[in-house]
Amino acid sequence: MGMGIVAEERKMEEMRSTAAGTGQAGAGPEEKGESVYLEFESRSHNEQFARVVVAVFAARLDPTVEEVEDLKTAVSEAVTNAIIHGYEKEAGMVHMKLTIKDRELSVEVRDEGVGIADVKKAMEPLYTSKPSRERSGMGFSFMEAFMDEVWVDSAPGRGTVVRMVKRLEERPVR
Amino acid sequence: MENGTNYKVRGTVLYAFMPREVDHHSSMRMKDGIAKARVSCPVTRLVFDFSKTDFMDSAGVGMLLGRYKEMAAVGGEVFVRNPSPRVKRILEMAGIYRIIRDWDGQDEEGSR
Ligand SMILES: Nc1ncnc2c1ncn2[C@@H]1O[C@H](COP(=O)(O)OP(=O)(O)O)[C@@H](O)[C@H]1O
Ligand SMILES: [Mg+2]
Repeated sequence: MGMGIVAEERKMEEMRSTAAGTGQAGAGPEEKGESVYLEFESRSHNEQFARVVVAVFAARLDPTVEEVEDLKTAVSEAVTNAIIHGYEKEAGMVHMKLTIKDRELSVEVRDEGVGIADVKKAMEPLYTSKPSRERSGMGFSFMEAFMDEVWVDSAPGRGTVVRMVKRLEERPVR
Repeated sequence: MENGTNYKVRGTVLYAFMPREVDHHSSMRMKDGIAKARVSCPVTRLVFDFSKTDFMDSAGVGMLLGRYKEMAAVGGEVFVRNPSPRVKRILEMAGIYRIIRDWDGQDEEGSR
């Protein structure tokens, strides 16, 4: 991801005060905004870690309580899927990138796990490949309900990327 | 960090006091905890108490459905008690209220 030096310095300044994760220079001329990027092992207690991170990152936009809850739920679903489906056979790293641009918060959750053969079918409400494991098949439905946009890019053996965008309400200037 | 589930049996009613966050991680533990509690006594009604819970995702829904199926298989019933507005919204979106009812309050002895 390319970026201008001047913009980078300004953004790095801001990122030093970022509480969540390791800062990544994510702003470029064509893609303004600021990002944090982190990766963590595919362990189930990291689901909570990922939720805390998105809540802290979103806080700078002064979101409503409901917006924070929506973001936490969507992140929890995507990260849980990476852990239990993507890395079902073999543990690996989950990558999460959060970007703020104006009042738009984007989330990207990526794994290098087993991938999905039929994304359309996987996203159908109530579809689960693991009914015996007590999955409800509502993960993608919750992501779509709580975010404004959801894209999934996946192929068998190549892992999965879930990108989601939420546009936060305008807040009065204080 | 306080994120465990406590159980309490009154007669044949099992109360599961849900953790602060009901996700895939905590749901896996609850499944085992409830199975153990049910072995030690005959349970006809299972009450999920959400008083402490402020987060639940679809993994929690899956866990509730799993317990519902087990209880229904032996003619038992499942209830929810005291969900926060957020948890209630998740339950409604998941259609849980079609099969699991609100525990209606005749449960004084079940409260801690
Ligand atoms: N990261 C992933 N890697 C591989 N498969 C996935 C991934 N995310 C989702 N899936 C597939 O999509 C299906 C539907 O996902 P979801 O709606 O979250 O339901 P659930 O997780 O309850 O099965 C899963 O059962 C799984 O087969
Ligand atoms: Mg899921």
